[in-house]
Amino acid sequence: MGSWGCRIIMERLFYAFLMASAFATTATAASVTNTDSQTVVLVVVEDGKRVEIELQPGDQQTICASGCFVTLPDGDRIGLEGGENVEIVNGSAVVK
Amino acid sequence: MFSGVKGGFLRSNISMTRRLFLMSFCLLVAFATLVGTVVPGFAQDQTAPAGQETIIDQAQEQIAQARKQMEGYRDQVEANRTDDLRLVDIKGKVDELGREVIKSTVTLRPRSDEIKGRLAELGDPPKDGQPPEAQIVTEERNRLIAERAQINAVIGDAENLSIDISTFSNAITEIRRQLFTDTLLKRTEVSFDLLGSVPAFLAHEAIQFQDTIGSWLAFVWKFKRIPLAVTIFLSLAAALVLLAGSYRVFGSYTRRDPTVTDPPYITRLAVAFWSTIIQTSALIAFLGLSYFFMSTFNVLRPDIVGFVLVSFAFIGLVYFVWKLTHAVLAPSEPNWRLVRISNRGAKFLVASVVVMAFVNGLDYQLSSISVMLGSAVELTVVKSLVASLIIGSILIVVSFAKPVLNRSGNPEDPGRPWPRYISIMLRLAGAALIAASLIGYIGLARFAATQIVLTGAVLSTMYIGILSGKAVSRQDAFAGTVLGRYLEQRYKLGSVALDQLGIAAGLGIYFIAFLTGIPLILLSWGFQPKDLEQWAVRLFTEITIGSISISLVGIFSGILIFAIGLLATRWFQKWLDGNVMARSHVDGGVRNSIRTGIGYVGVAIAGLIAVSAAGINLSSLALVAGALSLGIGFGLQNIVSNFVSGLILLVERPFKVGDWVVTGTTEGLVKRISVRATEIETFRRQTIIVPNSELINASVGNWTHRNRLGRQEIQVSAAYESDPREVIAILQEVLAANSAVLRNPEPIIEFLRFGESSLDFEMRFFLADLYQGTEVRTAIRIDIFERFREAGIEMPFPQRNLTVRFEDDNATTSSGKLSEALRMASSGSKPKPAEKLRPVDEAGMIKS
Repeated sequence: MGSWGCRIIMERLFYAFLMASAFATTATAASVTNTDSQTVVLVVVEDGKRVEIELQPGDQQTICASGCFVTLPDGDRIGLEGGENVEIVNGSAVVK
Repeated sequence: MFSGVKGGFLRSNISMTRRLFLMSFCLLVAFATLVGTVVPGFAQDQTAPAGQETIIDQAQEQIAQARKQMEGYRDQVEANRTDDLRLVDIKGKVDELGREVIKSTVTLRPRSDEIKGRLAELGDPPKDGQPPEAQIVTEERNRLIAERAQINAVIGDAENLSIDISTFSNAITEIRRQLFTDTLLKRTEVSFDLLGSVPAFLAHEAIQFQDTIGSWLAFVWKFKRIPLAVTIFLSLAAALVLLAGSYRVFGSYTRRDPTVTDPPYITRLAVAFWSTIIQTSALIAFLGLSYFFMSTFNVLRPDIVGFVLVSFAFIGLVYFVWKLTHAVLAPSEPNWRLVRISNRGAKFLVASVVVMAFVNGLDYQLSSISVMLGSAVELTVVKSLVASLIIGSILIVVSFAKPVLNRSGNPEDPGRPWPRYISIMLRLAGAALIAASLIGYIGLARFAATQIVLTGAVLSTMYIGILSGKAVSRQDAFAGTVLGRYLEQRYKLGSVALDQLGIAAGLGIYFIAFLTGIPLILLSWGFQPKDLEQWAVRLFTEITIGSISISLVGIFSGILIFAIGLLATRWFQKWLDGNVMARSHVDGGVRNSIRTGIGYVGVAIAGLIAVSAAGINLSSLALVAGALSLGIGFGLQNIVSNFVSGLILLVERPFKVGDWVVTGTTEGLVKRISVRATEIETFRRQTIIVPNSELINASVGNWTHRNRLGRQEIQVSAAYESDPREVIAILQEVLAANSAVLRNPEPIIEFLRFGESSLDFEMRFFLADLYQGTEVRTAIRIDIFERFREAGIEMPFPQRNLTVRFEDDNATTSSGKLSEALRMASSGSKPKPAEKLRPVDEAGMIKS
C-alpha cells in the first residue's frame, strides 16, 4: 500500500494481539474507600484535570484509570499508579 | 491513517524509532507492575535519616529532570509540527513521562507512612496548661512535620507537572488532528499548468530514479555481493521451510480437489482460509526476512531503504488481495466458490479488485520514489490524481456489472445485476472519488481509495470468518471437520457433545473475527492503539448504566472461578471417596453422605467466591435475602423443609443408598438421596421420588439398616399319613445342609396347624444377606420336595369328602336322577338340559 503498509499492518496486528492480551492483565483502576464516620472530600488530579470527589462514610469509588494524584483531607498528597486499594482512615490514606 | 497519509505524502520516515518505542512500550507494560512493587520495597529499607533525604531529593531530582525532558519534547514538537510519525512518537514518550512522574512519587509513600506513624506515636503537642514535653520530642516532631511538608511539596510539584504533561499531550493530539484534516482537506488546484508541467518532471524523475537504482545496484554488486546472496538464500530458505512445513501440516486442506463435485461449505471455507494464510505468510516471511537481513548486512543504503520497504509492502499486499479474492471467488472452480456469484462475475470481480489494490499500492510506491528523489510535489499530486481516477472508474464499472448468480443456479449462465443498494453505494463511492480528486482534494480521495481497498479486505476476511462460524455451528457440521473427527476418535464423543462443541467453536470464531477485525478497521481509520486499548479496558471492566456499573471481566472471572471451584470440588470428592475412604473401608452410605455433603459445601463456597469476584457486593445481597426471607418462609416452606430434611437424612442416615426401605406407600431400593427428594426404585423398576420431609416425618421401614440379616419363612404341608417328627427331622436336615442358612440365630420349625387336608409346618430361618432370599428359598423347596419323595411323604392335594343326604319324599326321584346322571356320564351321552347336574358346593349341598 505504501511506506506505512506492511509496517503499520504488522504493528496493528500486534496491537490487536496486545489488546486481546490486555483484557487479562489490565484492570488498573484504583479504588478508594472511606472508613471514616464523616464525609470526606478528595481532590483528584487525573488526565490534567482537577476533580473533587465526595465520599460518604463507607462509600467506595473507583478512580484513576491511568494514574493520578490525590490530596487527602489531612493535607497529604499521594500519587497513585492505579491498581491500589486506598482506605481513608481518620482523614489520611492507607494504601494497600 | 494519520501516519498513512503523512507517511506517503510528505516524507517517508523509516527510522526504527517507532518500532523501538513499540518494544519499549511492551517492556514497560510488562515490567510496570514489577517496578511498582520493587521500588517501594527498596525504599522501605532506607530508614536512616540520610537515606530519607536522598529519597526526597531523588524524587525532586527526577521531577526536575522530567520537567526538563518535557521542555525538550516541546521543542521537538515545534520542530516537527508537520511530521505525523514523529508526533506519534513524541506523544507516546510524553505519556510515558507522565506515568514516570507519578511513579517517582510512589517511592515517597513508605517514608510518608513512616512519618505519619511516628507523628501519631508522638501525639499532639501539649496544650496550654498541660505539662511541657521533653525537648527532644518537640524537636523530632518539628523535624517530621517539616519533612512531611517537604514530601507534600514535592508531590505537589509532581502534580503540577503531570497536569502540564497531560495538557501538552492533548495539545499534541490536537496538532495531529489538525494536521490530518489539513492533509486530507488540502486542496490542490488541478489545472492544465499542473498537468503540463508533469511530463518534464516525470522525465527528470525517471532519469534520477534510474541513476539512483543503478548506483545502488552497482554499489551492491561491488561491495555487497556476498551479503546480498546470503540474504536472498537465507530468506528464501526460511520461506521455503515455512511453506514446506505448513504444507506438510495443512497440505490436504489447501488444495481444491477438482473431482469433488459439491464440497461441503465448511471444507470450502477451510481451503480458502488455509490457502490464503499459508501462501501469504510464506511470502511475508520471505519479504520480512529479506528486509531484516538486508538492513543487518547494510545492503540497503539510507536513500534506498524507503523505496525497498514500500516495494516489499506493495508486493505483499497485492499478493494478499490476489490470494484472498481467489479464495473467496474461485473464478475457475465454481463448486468451490464461497459466495453466490456467476463464473464471469467472479473473473471480473477478481480482476477489478486486484487492479484496484495494485493501482492504490502503486500510488504509494510511486510517491515513495518521489520522496526518495525529492521530486516536485506536483508529480506526487498528479500520480495520486490518476490513481484515484482509476480506482473511482473501476468502482463505477463494477457497479454496472452483473455478477450475482443466475436464478437457475448455474454459474455458467449470465448473472443478475447487484442488489440495488450495493450498486448505488459503489457508484456513489466511485463518483465521490473522482469528484474529490478532480476538485483538488486529492489527499481525501487517496485516503478514501485506500480505505475502500483496505477496509474492504478486512471486512471480507471478517465476513469469511463469520460465515465459517455459521457453518461450523450448523447441526452436525462440526463432526465433519478434521478437528471434530479427531475429537470424536480421541475422546469418544457422542454426536450431541460434538454438536455442542460445534456451537462453541462457531461462537469462538465469531468472537475472533470481531476481535481482530474491528480493531483493525478502527486502526486503519486513524484511531490510536492507546485509545482503543482504553476503550476496550473500559468496555470490559466498567460499563456504567446510571449508578450501576457492570464489569464484564468481573462477571467472566466470576463464572470462571465458579467453574474452577466446581471442578476442584468434584476432584476433591473423587479423591476423598476413591482414595481415602475406599481404602479406609468406610461404609458406602457414609461415603455417599460425605461425598454429597462436600459437593454442597464446595458449590456454596465456589458460588460465594464467584459472586464476590464478579463484583457483586455480598452485603447488598444480604439485604435482598433479608427482604426475601419472609417470602421464602411462606412460599418456599415445603422446599426449604425438604432441603433441611435432606441435610438431616445425610447426617442422621436412617437409610443409605442401596438400602431396602418400606415407606407408607412404596417399597424398594434407595437409589439416590438428593437435597429435595429421595429416589426409591421399586422391584418392578419404577422410580418413585419421595420428598425428604415425608421420609423424616413418617415412619420408614428399613430392611437393611444395620445389616442385611433377615428372616425367611417357608410353609410346608405333609399328608396326615406322615409322621410329623420325621417331617421335622427332614426339614431340619434340609436347612442344615444349606450353607446360606445361618446357624445363629437358630432356624426354627413350627408345627403350625392341623390343616384341612394336611399337617402344616413353617420353617423360619435367617439369612446373612436378605437379597439371597429368593435363591435360597427356591433351593430349599427343591431339597424338601426331593427328600419327601425319597421318604415317601406325600404332599397332599386338598381333599373333599362328599356327603350326600337325601330328603324322604324326593328320595327316589333324586336318587334316580343322580344314578341316571352318573350312568349317562360314564356312557358318554349328554343329559337333557333340564336334567343337567347342578354344581355341588364344598359342603355337598346342591346349589339351586
